Amino acid sequence: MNKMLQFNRRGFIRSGLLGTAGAIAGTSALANTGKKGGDAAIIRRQLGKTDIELPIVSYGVMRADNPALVKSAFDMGFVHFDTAHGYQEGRNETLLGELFKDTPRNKFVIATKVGADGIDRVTGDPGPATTKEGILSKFASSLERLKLKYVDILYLHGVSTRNTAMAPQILEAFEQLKKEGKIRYAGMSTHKNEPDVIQAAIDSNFYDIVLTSINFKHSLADQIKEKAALAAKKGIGIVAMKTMAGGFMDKERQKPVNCVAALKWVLQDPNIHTSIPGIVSYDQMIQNFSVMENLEFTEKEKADLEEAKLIAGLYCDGCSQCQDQCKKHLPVQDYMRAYMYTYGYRHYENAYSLIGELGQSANPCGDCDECTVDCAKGFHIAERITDVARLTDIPRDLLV
Amino acid sequence: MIKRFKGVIILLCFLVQAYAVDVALFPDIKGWKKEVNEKVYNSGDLWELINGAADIFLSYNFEDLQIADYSKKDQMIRVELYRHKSFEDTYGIYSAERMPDYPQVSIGSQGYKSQGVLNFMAGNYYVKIMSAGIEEPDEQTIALFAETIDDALKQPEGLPGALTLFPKEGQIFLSDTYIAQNFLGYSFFKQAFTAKYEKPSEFQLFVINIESGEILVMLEQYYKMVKAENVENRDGLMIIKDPFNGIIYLKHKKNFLVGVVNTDKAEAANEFIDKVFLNTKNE
Repeated sequence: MNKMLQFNRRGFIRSGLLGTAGAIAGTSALANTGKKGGDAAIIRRQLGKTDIELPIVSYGVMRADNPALVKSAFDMGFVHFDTAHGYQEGRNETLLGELFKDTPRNKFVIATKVGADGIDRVTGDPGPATTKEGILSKFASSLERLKLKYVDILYLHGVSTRNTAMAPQILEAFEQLKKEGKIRYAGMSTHKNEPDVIQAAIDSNFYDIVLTSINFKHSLADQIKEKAALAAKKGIGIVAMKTMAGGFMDKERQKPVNCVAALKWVLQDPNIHTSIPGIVSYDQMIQNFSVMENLEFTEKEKADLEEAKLIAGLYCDGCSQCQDQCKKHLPVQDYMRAYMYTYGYRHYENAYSLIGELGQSANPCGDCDECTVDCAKGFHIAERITDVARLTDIPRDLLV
Repeated sequence: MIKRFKGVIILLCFLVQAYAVDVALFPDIKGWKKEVNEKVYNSGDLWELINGAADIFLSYNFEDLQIADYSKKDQMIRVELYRHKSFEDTYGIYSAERMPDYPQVSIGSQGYKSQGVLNFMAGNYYVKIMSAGIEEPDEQTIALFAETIDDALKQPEGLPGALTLFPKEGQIFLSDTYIAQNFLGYSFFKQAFTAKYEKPSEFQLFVINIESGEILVMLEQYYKMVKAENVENRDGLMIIKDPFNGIIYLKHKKNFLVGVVNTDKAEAANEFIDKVFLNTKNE
């Protein structure tokens, strides 16, 4: 960047712009960022038994297409940047490589991930095409893109079973990379069957870090927290992802999650050592930075989270467990969404349209004596479908 | 009653189209056993397959993903069809992942290949073809798959029209892209086509083509954020000292906002911006 353009971003963010950016983002939480000042206020946690101590909020680079944004985050105080071999077919790693090529190596922490080839899509277990060489080859190209001699953390990407976590060929690959000094710590990332995968990490005596999805509306949140506590006690670093629960309560992205509250909810657990929310804008960056300094809920955040938890607890989050369970092949998830629109959001028009599109009768469960659907959240599916399907009997004009 | 019944049939047809696997998109290929995945991934579960990489697909209005595996002894070729809402969205995600250094292929609108992989875009589809078996098929076989799939998709060729507005001279090869959201890291800037140029030093030219009223709202928010003292109007060329992105040059005419990032040469920036406006008249 030209010298004349080198503004002091950090000062800018922390002083004059902050108020304006806060107004853009529309959140009072931003006000916390500028007032405390200084790195001393940043909450840091040790990443398990590793020698890495990190601010509790890190940077998930997966969507970043603007190097200036990532650079600003680094200048502001973000230290740990998380990418993966597969993000943007490798361009994501290239972006980080270009950005940090002239930065002293001890000033930043890079985590990347490689997926094992040949993992069975249904079982999640390794297959004949899962090889040590496959891992080594992918990692070699990652290291080249990152322009680094080593990465701080290498995760095995997207682990959902104990068999994959413990696959000898995978462990051998990671072991070799450690011996060669190309990775400092070995980890796994998981967003399916997380409690089992964390337990596998504990049992393995091998993995240093687990990157797990967790958020306030995750159906396994309690079990994940239990396992994270056990893992942390054993010295395994725990990094959180998907903390924002998708950013919205619904698939139509009409009901936004209070992201600051969601992030705080995760990080209030001391066994979660840092988090990697994706950041694609400066207002998100400032919001997330504010969480680094203050984990206490504001009254509004508390209220927003309570409301969101209520919605998450009472309504379908689209886990797909019910898929194909109904003997009449009813689109159960769609009916559950319609139920959520009706009772959660009071969006009767949306519910009416959705049910209309399904093309079913006003009493689709009427001729069925037993419901075969086993809902992950324990909902009585037939009751809910019968209840909400009645909307089709109401003239549309009455709903508008 | 008949009308109502007819309506239900139309709706059912629509649903079959919207949610079921479209097997016709995966033609038979002689000598290969085809297995079409029954599961169609949508915006709610794409992450199950591609983990965190799903986020960027969602930002480009991802609609669904259909997959088929073709196998022959120890060889397996996986075909993934990512469908996006618009041609621009598809081009956006394709160009965000395109590797300029890789050999280009003339399949669909545009494509490239690397070892065991061939990716291309065709209309609203971003197609990924990759070797997924123990033994890797040769390049010709993967190319044959790509051509066959492209034929089956029956999509229009070409790239978004906005790209023709960019001056060709000095444009860096395959630097063109489309940012659907959060352009320059600001939530109020959206739908920007961009390309990079070599001289006077590497800089980025961008074009946003939306309703003039929307552009005015964008600019109002932008100027408010950077503060008035950092905005200069030099004979119609707005020069903004952006705290994060450096100096930005902007001109707004009708439904076009055209700008330059990453240079301190105002004259050159102005020249390139004017070339874009000239091209809008030639359209």
